[in-house]
Amino acid sequence: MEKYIQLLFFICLPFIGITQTYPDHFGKGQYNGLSVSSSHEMANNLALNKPTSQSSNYAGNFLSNKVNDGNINTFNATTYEANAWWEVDLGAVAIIRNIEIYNRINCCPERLDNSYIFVSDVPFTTANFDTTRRQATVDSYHIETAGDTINLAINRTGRYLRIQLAGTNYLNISEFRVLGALAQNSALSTLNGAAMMPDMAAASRFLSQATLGYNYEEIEYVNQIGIDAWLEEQFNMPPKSFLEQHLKMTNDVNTVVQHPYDLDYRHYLSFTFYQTLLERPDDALRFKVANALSQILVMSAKEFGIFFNRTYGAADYYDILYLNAFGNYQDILHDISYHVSMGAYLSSYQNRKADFGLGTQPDENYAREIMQLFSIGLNELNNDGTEKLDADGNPIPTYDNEDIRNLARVFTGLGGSATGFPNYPSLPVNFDLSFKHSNYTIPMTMYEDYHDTNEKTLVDGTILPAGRSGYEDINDAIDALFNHPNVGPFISIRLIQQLVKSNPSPAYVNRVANAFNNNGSGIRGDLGAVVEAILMDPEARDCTLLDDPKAGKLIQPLERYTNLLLAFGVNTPSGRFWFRDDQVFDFKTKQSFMRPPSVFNYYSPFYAEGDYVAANDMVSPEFQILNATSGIYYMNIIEDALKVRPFDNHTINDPNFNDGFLTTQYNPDDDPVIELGDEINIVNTQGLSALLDRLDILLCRGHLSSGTRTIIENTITQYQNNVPGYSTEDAVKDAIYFIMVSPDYTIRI
Amino acid sequence: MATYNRREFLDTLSKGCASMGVTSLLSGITNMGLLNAAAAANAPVYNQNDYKALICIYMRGGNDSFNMLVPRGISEYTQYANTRSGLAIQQAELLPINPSNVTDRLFGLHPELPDIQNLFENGNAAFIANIGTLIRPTTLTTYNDREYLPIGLYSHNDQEMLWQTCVPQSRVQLGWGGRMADILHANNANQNISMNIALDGINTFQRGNIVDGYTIESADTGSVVINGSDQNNFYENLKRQSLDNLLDVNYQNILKQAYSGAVVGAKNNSLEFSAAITNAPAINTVFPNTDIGKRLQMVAKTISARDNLNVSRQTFFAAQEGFDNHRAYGDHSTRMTEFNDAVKAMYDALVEMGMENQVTIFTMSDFGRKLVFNGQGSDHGWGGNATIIGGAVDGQKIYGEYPELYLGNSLDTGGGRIIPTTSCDEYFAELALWFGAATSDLDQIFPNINNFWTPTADNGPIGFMV
Repeated sequence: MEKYIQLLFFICLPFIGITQTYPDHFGKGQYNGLSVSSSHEMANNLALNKPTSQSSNYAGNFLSNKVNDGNINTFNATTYEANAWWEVDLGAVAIIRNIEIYNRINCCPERLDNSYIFVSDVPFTTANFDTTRRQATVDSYHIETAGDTINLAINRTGRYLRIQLAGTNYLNISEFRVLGALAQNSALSTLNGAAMMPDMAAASRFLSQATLGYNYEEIEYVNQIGIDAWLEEQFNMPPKSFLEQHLKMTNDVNTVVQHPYDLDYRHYLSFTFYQTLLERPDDALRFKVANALSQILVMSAKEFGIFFNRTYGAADYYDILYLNAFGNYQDILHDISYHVSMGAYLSSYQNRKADFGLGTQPDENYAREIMQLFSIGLNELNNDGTEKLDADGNPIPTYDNEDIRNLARVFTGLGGSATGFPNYPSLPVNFDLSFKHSNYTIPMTMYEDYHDTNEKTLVDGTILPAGRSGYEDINDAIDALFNHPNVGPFISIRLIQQLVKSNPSPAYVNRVANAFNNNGSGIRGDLGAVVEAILMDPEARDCTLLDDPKAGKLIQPLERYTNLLLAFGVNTPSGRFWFRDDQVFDFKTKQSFMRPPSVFNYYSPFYAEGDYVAANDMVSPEFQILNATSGIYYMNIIEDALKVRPFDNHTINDPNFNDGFLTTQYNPDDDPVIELGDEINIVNTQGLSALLDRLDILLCRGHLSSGTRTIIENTITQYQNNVPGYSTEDAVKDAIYFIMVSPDYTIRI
Repeated sequence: MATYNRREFLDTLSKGCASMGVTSLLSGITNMGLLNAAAAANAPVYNQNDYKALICIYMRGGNDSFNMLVPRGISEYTQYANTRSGLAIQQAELLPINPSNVTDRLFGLHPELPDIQNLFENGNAAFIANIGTLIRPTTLTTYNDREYLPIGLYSHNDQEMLWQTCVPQSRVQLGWGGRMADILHANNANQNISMNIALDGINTFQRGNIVDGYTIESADTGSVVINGSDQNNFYENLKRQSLDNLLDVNYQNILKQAYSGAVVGAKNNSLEFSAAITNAPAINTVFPNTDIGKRLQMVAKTISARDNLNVSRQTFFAAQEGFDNHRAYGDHSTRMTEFNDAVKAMYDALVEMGMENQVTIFTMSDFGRKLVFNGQGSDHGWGGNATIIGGAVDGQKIYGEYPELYLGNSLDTGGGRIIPTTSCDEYFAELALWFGAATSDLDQIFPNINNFWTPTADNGPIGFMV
């Protein structure tokens, strides 16, 4: 069996730190004379002693080879002439990260002012200055004011480099260094063909962290405007209420099944989710963060029956997370604690004070989970997320069972505020109103008669005096939890694990927790600041960390699927995307929209795969749902999505469906199709290699390894040569399939 | 080439594993290397007539087992009814049982357990009373002094983990079924597919240092094969070869390596498993169309395929969901019905295969539930009652000490959370001995066993296995 060691190249290049460059009309950028970031690691000087030439020789001591002889005390000189130039040929195409130019030190550094650097994979066709700037394969970089040294970030491939004066002068350079690596593998082909490819890879990597899926145009957009501007845009994008989308969906479904009160509503949450997502919402970041929060503040719709008010309530609960995705965590904790969906899910709804006549004691379910899972966690944490230890070196529990009993007494007395739409208008509204009949969009109300008014002691030692109202108790208890020092690192780790990586360094956690503790304006719990800190952190952006063996995370299965659908787009005849993911994914990949099996989510943040991960003191949460069946099902789902259909569109009423509830059924006349027109066109016009370049950026964030790429190219070439009728479309589908099942895609570094 | 395992090692376990070579590897979802085949060659291989299996039914969420096995005598029932309030089952509805080892107390079963009643009365089922996670014998005094208490008492995820690890003093990732298989797996002639078979998702119980659980699903042939695996044509053949080449790669990145390992193992083992099930003798027993019914049906199919799989020892883990009955208390009756019907079918299928004396079914759950009523259902507790079913069980007996159920009794930590009087270690050590572990292996599988029982050669800690 063929084995090879994956070659890691820095083909994702950093956004941060590159002082880049106003687009030159003819080329890439402009150097403004200010300092430019230095490269992260000093690679070899690829130009050293390579063949050189220059426009003219001033004298025999100042030949062109003095510029790359490794000696900063020697320099070249041309005659005084228009557009004087000096060139070097690296001998092979290289991945160029930086160019360092040392100006002549004993006189006249201004001679290099207003010069241009040209970079090309192929030879320059002419020495003519204007023609070279326009040469299609050439990027140009403008040096306005040279100064003593120039450090220029290039981040593209190149073999032939030239520096040329825009005006007329002598050309003198002490040393011209090219830093980077010779391209020997897929990195080369990744970079070939498009001048902006390195930044495209970085943009793709960013979008994969910040969204549930994106297409090539969106990568180009981020690449064009930059991450800062994109984030700013996202933070200011007005959200669309998920509940409203859900209501709209319900009305749409009613046009298909015209018995609204008898419908099987349980699927409409996933209908709403996919319909909204596949229409490419403008607030992609908010969707991503809401998805992350829904796996931290879990209220699962899995056990829901067919009743409309519960799915309606789930959509309203999702809105808490979605609308507050950049809001304050304190508001979220309050809102979920009063939400009927959560009350019904973790039995705080109708939780009553101890009643000796009935022989009852308060239920501890919500009290336990709001501490363990939603706020402070099991053990005391340092701000960097590491556990505090006692004198014996043991973790220090944040709470004990007495704390839970006290907090359980706080969460007593809550019940329904109104009857629910549509079936139960005549029921009396009191503490006995069942959650099944409650209105899920109106917060629970306090029935003081059922609230325990005795004194309570909270986890931080705060005493809630006897005789206060239920609202006062609950609000103060939530605030005390929110202000516990664990919350910052606790929530930061979980959000980092969702968005960026499974094993963040303590320093990274510390930086994000700092943003949670104080957004810079003295406000604690600002999730917008937290999200920005997570995504803009050097550990999220910096390419020097890409070869850390502990980097990355397994993309969760639902997101792998939305990645596929959004990377290429899906069309249906009706424009509807009514996908019951629960029927497929609960069973096969163990993850569907908003349906974790329990409040402990689809997987534990502490889960460590056994053979490799645990041994390295790492965690790999998503691996808890990767097993011998789900691992293969995922591969088959991707193949079927491409070759059969991405999902069954449930847009028809089946009059023969007779389980007692009318419902929507699969509509064979409304099959969704993944749009591959652009990709087919690329193969037809530029060949298979160009397609793999594009898919490398779009799916692998520029990390398609040379081994994987070679296998795919060879396989598809053999298919083209040996399988009768094998079409370009078949080739595109196979390429996507092979990439999406490979670790180069599934593990996002 | 074998990949080398660097998994977490419990210090107390290193001796047993070292004897097999610490560099060997079997992940249930990774092919086993030659090292293990060599180890197997030096160990006695059980012949297939010696086949034994353990089936764990995991009642997820905390079975309210003081409503599964209920005191029926007048005075004890009155205590029960007073404590449980709105949760109490009517005395007349309890299904009476006649344990042969209890003469002074009366017991009944949940009304939805008629077939468990039959199995019990026929000597093929037993109960273990008030069992739970313990580090050492515990009293109310030591509880109040916080001495040697299991971590995360009354919490789902911790207690679920501790039942499966039997290491209640810490959060470790290896289960006792995994550690047991680490010692015994070399006896299976088939070293590709794990001794430990998990239904519908991985678990801690079956995760060992060398052996991990092999996950199957409850439909069709259990294992999932890659699309087109049954086709022999240029396209599919090259696809298979290319997937092999593409996935079976050494990666520097640890998560990529872990992903590759998992998928390669799944891919390679699924075809073998699928073929074994397809070619196994059919089972005529009809199983209920419930999740646990379907899972046990797949267990039965796998046992039927034991010769094709060429194995003599297997464990199975099948979860039954939905026991966290904080509210909607009628749900517990539904769970009991599902349990009763599925176990009856499983036992019938074992009889049909003639395997009822070689396969033992046992239950675990997060905890017994708190006895008091919360107004809608019940909360999390600690000690509870477990069931063992099989021809090898010394049945029609209640083992352990069934506690008194009045509030404030000497085992009540508050609200009817009962301190267990029998440890999980004793329960499982007895199963492990029956399954083939040596007495000398026990402290490697159950690090705390010596706190409860001094291993002897001639009997188990509790005595419920014949």
